[in-house]
Amino acid sequence: MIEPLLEAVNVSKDLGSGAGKVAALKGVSLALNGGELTLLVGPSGSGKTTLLSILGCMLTPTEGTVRVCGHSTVGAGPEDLALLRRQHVGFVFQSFHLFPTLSATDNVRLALDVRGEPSRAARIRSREALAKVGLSHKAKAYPRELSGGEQQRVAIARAIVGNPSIILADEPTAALDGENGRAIMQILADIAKERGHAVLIVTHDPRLLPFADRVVHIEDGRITGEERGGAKQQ
Amino acid sequence: MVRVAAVTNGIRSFTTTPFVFMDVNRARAHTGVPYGKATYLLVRLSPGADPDRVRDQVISNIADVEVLTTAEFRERSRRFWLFGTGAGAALFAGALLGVIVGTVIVAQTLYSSTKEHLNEFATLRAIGSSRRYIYKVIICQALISAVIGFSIAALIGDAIVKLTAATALPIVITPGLNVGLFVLTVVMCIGSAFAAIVQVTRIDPAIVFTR
Repeated sequence: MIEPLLEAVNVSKDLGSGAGKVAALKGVSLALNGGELTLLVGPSGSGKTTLLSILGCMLTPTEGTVRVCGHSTVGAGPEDLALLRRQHVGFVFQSFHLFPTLSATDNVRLALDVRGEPSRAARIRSREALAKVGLSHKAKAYPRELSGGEQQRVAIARAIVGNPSIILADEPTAALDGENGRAIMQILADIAKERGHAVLIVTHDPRLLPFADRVVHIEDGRITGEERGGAKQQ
Repeated sequence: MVRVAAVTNGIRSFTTTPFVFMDVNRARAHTGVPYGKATYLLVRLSPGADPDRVRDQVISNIADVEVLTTAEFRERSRRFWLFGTGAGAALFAGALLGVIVGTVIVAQTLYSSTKEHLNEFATLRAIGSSRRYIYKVIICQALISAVIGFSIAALIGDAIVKLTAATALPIVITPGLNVGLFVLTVVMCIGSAFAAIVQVTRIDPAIVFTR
């Protein structure tokens, strides 16, 4: 049996303290396998982002365990979690989070810079990553010179350039129009298929369902259902 | 009756009081110093003479005198002005104030800049950068501030040196002083980065999902 790239077992997370304490997650278990694009779907306040933060090693669970490429996050400190993110996880954010004063290439290169990769090799790999998302011709452009879809493609290039096994995306199409949203989803689906990455996308956009190999529903901090099926390529 | 034979240029005391050169008897007559008395006597040595040996000989031959070499006299004057008068205290207080104000200004600038870019720092943390990497970024910013600040100050200092060169109180900035000031500026700027570093240390990378 193939070990999942990312696995959460019986994860609970309490946020706040005292009377304001909220159980954001209640015994969630989820495993992500390589080559699969999984959608995490649920209404606002259902715990999607909290689960994404825990799976992405930004938060530690109150209870339960998370294993990232075989490494448990139990007892891990902030620097251990940063190391796990650096080595195994690529992120795509809803609002892109590109650096406005850096070119597209330099924004991508940043992900390699934090990994300590030498500058020249990093520049070459960054250009390759931009080529994979179809942005070779915009390598020198600054974020303000790019459309929303192009900025998100730069963010995807930044997420994949370090060759992490897991890509986590938070509402990656929410700020985009339909056409750009579909293009972004196709890129993420291709990344899962061609590179064997585990891709998890948090969304409540039903237009993304055709791209998913698997759809996980979350509500009120609990996994309420799961659908499997072949992704429809467009 | 006194005839001014020549006017010197640049020969003044630390307080810019000018010196008047004349023979010793005339000086005594004008100042009322009795014959056989003097405050200082300047001894000019023959080429090749050993100053320390001459000093020892003078001390052994004349009672109640203090004999100083050029370096010793220079050091005594410096100590007197720096530590024996209010002028030194004012200078040190001014320098200390400069260091404190400079450090606070750079600290404020770095702190504000970091606060404005918390999102970027959170993104860096989210994509896996270590704290050390972020500290490096902030310290690099501090070093850039140090180099820019020192360069501007050095240019102003150089202009002041040139402007005061022909005045009664010329200001001298030696290469050694320049190096010392640069090191002090770098230390100040790195120290100033502390507040920014403390702020970044508290960043929760998960804020990237909510901004």
